[in-house]
Amino acid sequence: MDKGRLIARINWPGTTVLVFGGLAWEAAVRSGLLEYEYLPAPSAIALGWGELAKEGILGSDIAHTLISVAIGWAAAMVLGIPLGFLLGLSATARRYCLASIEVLRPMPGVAFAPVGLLLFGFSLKTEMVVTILPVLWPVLVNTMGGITGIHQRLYDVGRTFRLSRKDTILSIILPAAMPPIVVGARISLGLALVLAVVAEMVGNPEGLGYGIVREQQALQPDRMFAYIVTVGFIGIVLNAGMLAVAEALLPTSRQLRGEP
Amino acid sequence: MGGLTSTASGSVLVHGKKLDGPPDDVVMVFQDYSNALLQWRTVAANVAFGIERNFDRKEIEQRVRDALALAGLEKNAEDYPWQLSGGMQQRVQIARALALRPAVMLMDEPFAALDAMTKASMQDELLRVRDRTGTSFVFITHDIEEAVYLGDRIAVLKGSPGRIEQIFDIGLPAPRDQLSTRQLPKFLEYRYDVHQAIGRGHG
Repeated sequence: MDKGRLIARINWPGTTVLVFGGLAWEAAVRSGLLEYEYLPAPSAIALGWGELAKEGILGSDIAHTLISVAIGWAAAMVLGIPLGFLLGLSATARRYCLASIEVLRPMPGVAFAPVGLLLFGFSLKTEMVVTILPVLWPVLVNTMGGITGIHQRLYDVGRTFRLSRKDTILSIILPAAMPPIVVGARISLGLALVLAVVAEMVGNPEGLGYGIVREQQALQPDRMFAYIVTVGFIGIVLNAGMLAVAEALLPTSRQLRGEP
Repeated sequence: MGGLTSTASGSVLVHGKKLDGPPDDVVMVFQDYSNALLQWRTVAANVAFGIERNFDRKEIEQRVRDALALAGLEKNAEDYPWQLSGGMQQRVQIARALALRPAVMLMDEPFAALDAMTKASMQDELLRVRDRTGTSFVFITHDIEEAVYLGDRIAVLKGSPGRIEQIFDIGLPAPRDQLSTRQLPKFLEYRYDVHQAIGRGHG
């Protein structure tokens, strides 16, 4: 992308507000307006971030959390999309399964952290126990909803052109359900990050979540905030990545893609 | 007639064969074009939708080109339906049906959702397409003037379930013109008669 277009794509009003917010925070701490022992100025956080990066801990922690996110999200997609398809296409399946889904869905994954610890101790598997179930739901529910939400008219069109069942699934159902499926995938990805970090705070002492807790217990607020900022930044990058994938895959208007 | 709903009683015969699904050579065009078009496909891909399984590539491309030309959509082949106005989207639907070169096209109030001016120009385009392809159209509408303007034969349906109340043979001159045809005394007579056949209130 040439420089002119890149500049045009940056959200100048939004960025300006963020920069001003950061500067105001810095000024408030330096002037003594905000005086909490454990609320550092952005400059201190930046220094702490630099320290962590130099020590190499930051890199390995990021890698660990990202792997956790990747596994949890991939498992959710591999389980959720086929199941969502089955439920979407079969009213019988829905009749039998929806009640169970409604019971399982509200259960907080974090509540299973102790279960995971008992089963797997301090390991990646414990994080998975916390992550997989909640992350499954957006994918499954959105896939199912994407299929049941297909307008009857599209089926009429398939019938007036005498499409076989197989062609109806491939040429009508699959493409029509794609936007909600992609939205479900994006939500799940963000959720996987949240849950991985939480699982690391509560269960498995590795990765960014553990980093936050470790620095908090060591009374190092600038390094703790550096971890928090890193988590936030990863969340932004993952979301933006999914939006880009959605734009490439789905040649529809943003509204039809389900984007805000 | 489109084979999409089942008969309430008796049976429907096409060329002497009983109907239990969409009959061959008959294609339906729906009123809600934005729900009937595949919003994720370009206009050209939409037009190809009905024929892409049945012919080789060259034939498909030719038919798509012809259908787009008939519907006046050559310039919009690579657009997406959601980028087009209502009238143009409806033309995409018509082009998609025309690609099949059907003997009969069923149209379920296709212009009801369009503004008055677009509706008028679509009516004339439809007549032009009819003249160029020789397709027969079964056109459902609540607009009596539209029926008289477009039709060679009008069947007035009444009651629920609808029964054919009366059939009119329209003897208006061709080609029809939005201004002059609609002023003809004969036009007004037909309009009056069809109105009477429907009776007070809706038919």
